Amino acid sequence: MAGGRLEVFWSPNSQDKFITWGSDISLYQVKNTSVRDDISSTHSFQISNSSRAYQLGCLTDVAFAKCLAWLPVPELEGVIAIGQMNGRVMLTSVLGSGETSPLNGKEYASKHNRQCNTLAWGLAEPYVLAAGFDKHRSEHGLILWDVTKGGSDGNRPFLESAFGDTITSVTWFSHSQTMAAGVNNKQLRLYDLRGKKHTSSTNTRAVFSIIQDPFVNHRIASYSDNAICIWDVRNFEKPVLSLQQNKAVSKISWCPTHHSFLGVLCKESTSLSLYDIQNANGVAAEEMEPIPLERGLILTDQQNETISSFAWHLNEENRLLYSTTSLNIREHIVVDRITLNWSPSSKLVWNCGKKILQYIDETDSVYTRFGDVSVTMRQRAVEGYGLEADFKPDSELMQDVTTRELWSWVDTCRKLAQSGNPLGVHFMGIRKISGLPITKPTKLRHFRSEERNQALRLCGWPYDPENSILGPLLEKLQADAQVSRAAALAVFHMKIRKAIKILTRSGVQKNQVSYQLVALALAGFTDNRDTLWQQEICNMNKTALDDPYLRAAFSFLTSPSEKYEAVLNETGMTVRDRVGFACCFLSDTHLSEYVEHLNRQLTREGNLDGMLLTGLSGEGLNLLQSHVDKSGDIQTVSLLSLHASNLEVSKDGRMQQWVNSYRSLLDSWRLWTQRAKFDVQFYKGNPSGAEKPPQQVYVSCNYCGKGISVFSGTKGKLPLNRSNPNVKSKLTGCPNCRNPLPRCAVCMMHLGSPLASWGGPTEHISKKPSVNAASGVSGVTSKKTHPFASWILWCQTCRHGGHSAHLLEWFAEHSECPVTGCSCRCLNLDTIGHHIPVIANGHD
Amino acid sequence: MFQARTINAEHKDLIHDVAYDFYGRRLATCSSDQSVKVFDLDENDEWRLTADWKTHAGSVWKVNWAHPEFGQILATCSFDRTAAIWEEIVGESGNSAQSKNQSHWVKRTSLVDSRTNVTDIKFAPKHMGLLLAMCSADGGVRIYEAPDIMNLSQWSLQQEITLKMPVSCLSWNPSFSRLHPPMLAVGSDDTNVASGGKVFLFEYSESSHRWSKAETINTIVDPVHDIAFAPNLGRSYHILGIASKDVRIVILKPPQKDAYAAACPTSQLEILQAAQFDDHHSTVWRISWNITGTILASSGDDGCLRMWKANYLQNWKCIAVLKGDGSGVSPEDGTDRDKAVSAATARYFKLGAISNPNQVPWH
Repeated sequence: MAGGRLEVFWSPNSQDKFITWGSDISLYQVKNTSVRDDISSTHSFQISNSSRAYQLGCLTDVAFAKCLAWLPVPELEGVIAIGQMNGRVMLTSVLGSGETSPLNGKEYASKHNRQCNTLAWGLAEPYVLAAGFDKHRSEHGLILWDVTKGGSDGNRPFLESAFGDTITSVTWFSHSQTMAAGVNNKQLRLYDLRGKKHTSSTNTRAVFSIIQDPFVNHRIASYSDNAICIWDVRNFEKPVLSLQQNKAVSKISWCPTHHSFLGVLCKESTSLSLYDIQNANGVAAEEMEPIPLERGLILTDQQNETISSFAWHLNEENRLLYSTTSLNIREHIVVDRITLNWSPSSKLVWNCGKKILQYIDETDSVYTRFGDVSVTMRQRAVEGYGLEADFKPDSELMQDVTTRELWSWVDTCRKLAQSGNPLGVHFMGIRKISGLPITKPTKLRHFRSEERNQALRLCGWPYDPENSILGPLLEKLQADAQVSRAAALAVFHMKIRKAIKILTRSGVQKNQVSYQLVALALAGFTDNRDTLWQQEICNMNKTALDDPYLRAAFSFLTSPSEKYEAVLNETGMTVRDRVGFACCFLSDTHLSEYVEHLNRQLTREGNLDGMLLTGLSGEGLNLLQSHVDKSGDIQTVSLLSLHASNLEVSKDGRMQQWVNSYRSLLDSWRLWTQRAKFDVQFYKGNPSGAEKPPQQVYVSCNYCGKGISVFSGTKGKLPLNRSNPNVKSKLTGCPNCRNPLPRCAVCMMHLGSPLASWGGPTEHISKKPSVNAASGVSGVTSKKTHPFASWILWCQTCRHGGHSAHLLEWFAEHSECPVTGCSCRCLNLDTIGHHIPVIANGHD
Repeated sequence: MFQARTINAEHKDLIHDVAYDFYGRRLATCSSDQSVKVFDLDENDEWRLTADWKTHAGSVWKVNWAHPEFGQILATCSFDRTAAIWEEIVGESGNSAQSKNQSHWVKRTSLVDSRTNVTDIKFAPKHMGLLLAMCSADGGVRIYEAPDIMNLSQWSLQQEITLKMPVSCLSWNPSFSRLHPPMLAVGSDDTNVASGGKVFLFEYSESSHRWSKAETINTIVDPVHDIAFAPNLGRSYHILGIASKDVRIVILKPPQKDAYAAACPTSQLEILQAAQFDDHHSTVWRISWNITGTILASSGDDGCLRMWKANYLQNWKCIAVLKGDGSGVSPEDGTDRDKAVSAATARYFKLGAISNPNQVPWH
């Protein structure tokens, strides 16, 4: 065994010791180290990032050793049996003279000089040593000694068997006096120590390294050249499983901490194969063959370093030690197969072994770094994105460039719609402003026409010839701290003086020298192209300026007529301003070319700014689809549909698919309030009404059977699921037959009576917020003025009911119906009822 | 250093599957110890074990929740050749506190048509009704339907498809779109590379009421261990994640625009491979999409979880690596991201290498 091969064995006696067997046999102790630079101590080495092995003892005289077995007796730390080539079996301690034991130094021998192939200590009786030898015509191949026997005949075998046979490997069965052995390279035999002869046998070439499964007493494994056989000793005819390997097998070992888990090492391999053998129990087990699940465990990543041996730790789960051909010894924890899943609320869960699940969610730093659209959408939905009539300028949405531009376009359209402009009503895009007539440039290189003015309206640019709204627009932009944009707009309208004013004023206010410098440069403007200003200063400025608007302004001033590419392709400017600019300064052919080009580009990019060009049309849907494809932001496009509900596009399948997906998303986030509000707005704007969900619940009188809702039957339009809230204060009886409504099961008052007339319980409710919070209805019952509190609620199963506030309070403490004698578990019947809606601020 | 939070599942053997319900408030686990456990999120956002029962006579491979519209229903499948449907029964005895803490699950039916190991079971998307598909090692893919959703003990075998190789996993296309027929993807863990493509796509034909094979993805010939459609979320195409010897992301493009009008259900899908990553350097076992289908998480035999995300140009990249024990996350920020990931990978695999001669064992 000398040379390149290094074997490792974990101690059967203590947690932290192992021996290596190469040119010598050494005992090591493993200690946890946090400090890696503890290299000064001799005879120690690092076996993992956190542990280090220290040598305790060493045997050097092992040249003839052929096999070894470590005595599994906790009191004796390092006693091993070494089988030699010459047939002698020595008991010795790896600690040398450091360990005194009567066993130390004992020696047993075969009568003839023949190789000892295998050794195994008994499991039920640990002091019985079994040894397997090469064949000799006049001696038994399998010899057992009782090492506790002393005296003159102490060396006499306790039992002998297999006369004239070769024994290549033996294994004991736990808790019984039976063992299995590989015989003559062609047989596996079972021995019972109570009889001399073997009890059963099977013919196979897989006679090497026979081992018993520590979890399944009747199961053994053995191997031949490149096949591993798993045997059931109760049915020994043929293997229950045969695992073929590509290379010759060198070691197999059952994992002692993991059920039916076999480690297999092949020669010249950089990885271990692990087999998880699946079995069924019960009735099905008889007919079912076990199935191996194979896993590869790559331990080294260098081709010239292969694994020479490995050993499972006896107690610690999935821990193993391995040695390599480069004589390195390392420790490894086998990670179990990981399964994982993702919850709708962004929790990612996975298993760590048998016992523990790990999870992370969007509050973890790892997760926030992803910047994922699912988290953004959920956050926006909670904040009521798109459901509020006006857009808060300071919200996160308005910081996001793409959404800001989109919603300001929507805002512009709505304002236009209010003034009856068809552009706004139909959310038309600039491309739809058809038939641009031939227009001639006015003196300031401006083009003007009614259609262009319409387009400018959409861009939010001044559209009347006198530019009367330019002034207020610039004021507003300055107030919004968009100084450079204001200055650029002024320059585009040739109000250079105004631009200089804007820049200097904000330069002084904010103490920004750069603005003042730009103002200075602007002051020197001259239209003459031969001047120094035109040629030098501006070019210098253009490259030096960071601000896209200022850059565009200078480009504009220095460009020859009709050559505005530098401005038009200034991607730092919003699409709105670029299009506005194009509408002012490009001739008809150039304008339509530019708009077409920009439209194609934005559609391809899925850039929502392009909605300005396409409008809510079929083309707009293509753009939105492109946006959804790229970003997954289904929220924005669904909310846009709220505005498109009376347009032709709302009938498009894609739009419906987005809306349905978004609604399902809100449902799964438990943002039911937001979902309901979304639905209300969606159907409100939809005049066709064909897809409106029909009223599903009608409340009728117990006596006359007529509907008690004033609206039911007459209009049937209110999409109510429970009862009509308007009835509550007006109605305590049937409007038709005048009989009273049923009583509330808790307060015994007739339904319909207002709660306020009945002070006790509401006081009670407000005093006990903790109970209500526990039942998950805090948002409802803690407010006695909440309109929902006096709504009528009933169980669809037992038909008992009452005021919602009273019932919720009742079910916070009880699981059964409040009506005497009724054992209905009303609240538990609704399994979704356990789920608390996510309630955001201002959305109770 | 980052540390993930933990839930004590305390299974007696390896956990094979974890499943969230529709709302992400309930969690079911199944294990080789033949049991299923259900955890519920309580008011304090703590996970609490509410049910633990023995389900099968062999390892339980998969557990799956039905949409809550149908009630609280779980489906399990096992090595013992059966699949089972479980329904939660709300407390029958005891006071309110007890019934809230412990719930009771009853077996509504056993699906015993498979003659072999049942490897996967999944409920169909809600809009298709109460429908489920299961697949088994003998190559059978079976689709069951509950004709009456109030009676969970009645399941009729709608169709049985037999493939010529063992089937290991399946996934329904969750798309809401009526523009494309319902779709089901199945993967095979047949180790024979020569037997060809291991991922099959089935489509349902409204006219014949049958599922039929639409496509075989021939580029994937290695055994497939998991397969998952990304939530569609209004995209014009479908994304399919595949766990094989590496992580694959395949894009399925339904026929283009004009077909929206034509709505021709038999037209060909366009199959594009969007990404292929061997960062795990070993078998990839499981994959899962987040709710928007924007991040794919994968787990492999390297003991790591990796997360993949596409940028605006649809280039998929690894955005995070987590160790299975939840302890380590590769350092990464901004531009160094790719480098950091590969460094982390290398570091993990160099466990066996020794750079310092002092660490060589003494002889």
